[in-house]
Amino acid sequence: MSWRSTNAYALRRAAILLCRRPLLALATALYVATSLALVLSVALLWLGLAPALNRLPANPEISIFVAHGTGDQELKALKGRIELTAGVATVRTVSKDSALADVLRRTPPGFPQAELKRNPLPDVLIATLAIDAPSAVVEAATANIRKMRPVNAVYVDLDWHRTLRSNLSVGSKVAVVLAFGGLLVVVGSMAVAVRVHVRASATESELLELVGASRGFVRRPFLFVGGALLGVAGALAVSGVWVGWIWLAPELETLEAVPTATGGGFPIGSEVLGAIWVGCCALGVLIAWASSHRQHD
Amino acid sequence: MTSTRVALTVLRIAARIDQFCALESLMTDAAGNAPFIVFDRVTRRYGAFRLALADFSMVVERGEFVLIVGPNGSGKSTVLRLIAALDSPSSGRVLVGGALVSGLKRRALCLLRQSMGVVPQQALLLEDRNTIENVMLPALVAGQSRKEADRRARAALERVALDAAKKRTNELSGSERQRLALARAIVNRPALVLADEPTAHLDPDSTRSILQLLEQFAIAGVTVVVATHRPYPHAPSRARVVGLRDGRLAS
Repeated sequence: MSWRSTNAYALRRAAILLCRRPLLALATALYVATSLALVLSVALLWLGLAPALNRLPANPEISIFVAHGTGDQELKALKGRIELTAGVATVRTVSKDSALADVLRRTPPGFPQAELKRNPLPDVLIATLAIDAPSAVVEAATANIRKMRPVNAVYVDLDWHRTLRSNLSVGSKVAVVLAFGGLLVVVGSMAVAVRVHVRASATESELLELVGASRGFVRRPFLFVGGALLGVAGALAVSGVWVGWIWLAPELETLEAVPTATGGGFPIGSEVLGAIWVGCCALGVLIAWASSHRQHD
Repeated sequence: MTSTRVALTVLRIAARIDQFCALESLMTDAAGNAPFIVFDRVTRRYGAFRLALADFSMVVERGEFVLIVGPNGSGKSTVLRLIAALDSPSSGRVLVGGALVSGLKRRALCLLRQSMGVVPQQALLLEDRNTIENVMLPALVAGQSRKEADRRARAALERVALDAAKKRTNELSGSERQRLALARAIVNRPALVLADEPTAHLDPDSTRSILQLLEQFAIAGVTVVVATHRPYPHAPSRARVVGLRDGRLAS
């Protein structure tokens, strides 16, 4: 059989296989689409929340209280030395004047501000470390800074940092497990969906082998079925998630706490959506090939 | 080193051509003198305990009608599966048309199966297609156009006296289903027809008509090998009976 007639036969058979049980084909496509859409929705939610999460003040900070009477030059030199300390990402200065102004702004009306004849507050340097800095690094940086002159006192909430880190660690592990589980569910549902159609044609495969069809000839209709089935499922999932996003976009935009990565737009590019769809088709072909391979052998 | 490789490549190509020539002879060399099917001390073992064939030897000439008779589990279907290269022997040799079946490559195996017609025990009819489409399938697989496959299918249906061209297979009686399987087996004008229990569930009249059909094929020069668990009371006169019991030749 020529390449063209083989493919024409395979395409016709694939169409017949899918149309023979249209409800089954539709149900399997919807099943796969739903599981894929769930995983995509979680990914979208994560992408949508990422900017907000990045803005959370979660980095460990060390507050350095400078001794009274420290001049500007000394303060700058101290800031330079702290910036060179291992683990420190940035250092900012909160001068005693701005701190006092802040305190006064927060005091209730009627507070006798005139009693503060002399500013009792110290200059403060705040060293910020990377969000994923291990506790040992934070502790070492704190110890080093504490030894510097003219540092009067150092404050760091290590317990909070440890709690945050352990929560982040647990959260990321749970997220990885959930993502892996979600992907397994998606791939598993895809495999089941395609195998249902392949196994429904076991008699035909056996007969074709008996009458001398090549393996490629026997398998090709299933490859088309797998590709078409998961292609439809992928398109349904992607379009479903997209429609859902459009539907929810006004509400999401009004929630300032949930800013989106692209200012309310769909956070996944069309090229990624296209890649997901192509991936679905390819996976369908692959699963069909593996399923028909096992059946054939 | 290079000359050795070239020599090996030439030998491989020669072997491939030889295989195809041997297969070609299946369909064309009806007057050949060599035995058509040879079982040379064939043993087929499934796992450690199940012995389907034990040191089995048999020769079938071209145009011969052979009835392999034996109880269930005696190895009849294994013989047919070995001829059709759907199985391979644990030891011994099976030759069809002079070609060693176990040595055939995948493409050659396809050609071998295309050159024979098989009537499986379960008929293996495709319920989603009508009778014509069922019969056309081997012709399409063998590379015939749809028009030619359709013409051949109608001729084959006429040959088995089945006037149900556009019927669905689930509308056919048991006898009609077997006739349809026979028509499908002969649509490629094979040199060899293998039938596994073709009359298992048929009444005596239908059994007789199916056997007559198979005998007609043999008269026309087609080699016919039929496996059956019960001896036919009215077996065709030209049929040679080979008895099998526990995978061995029985007297």
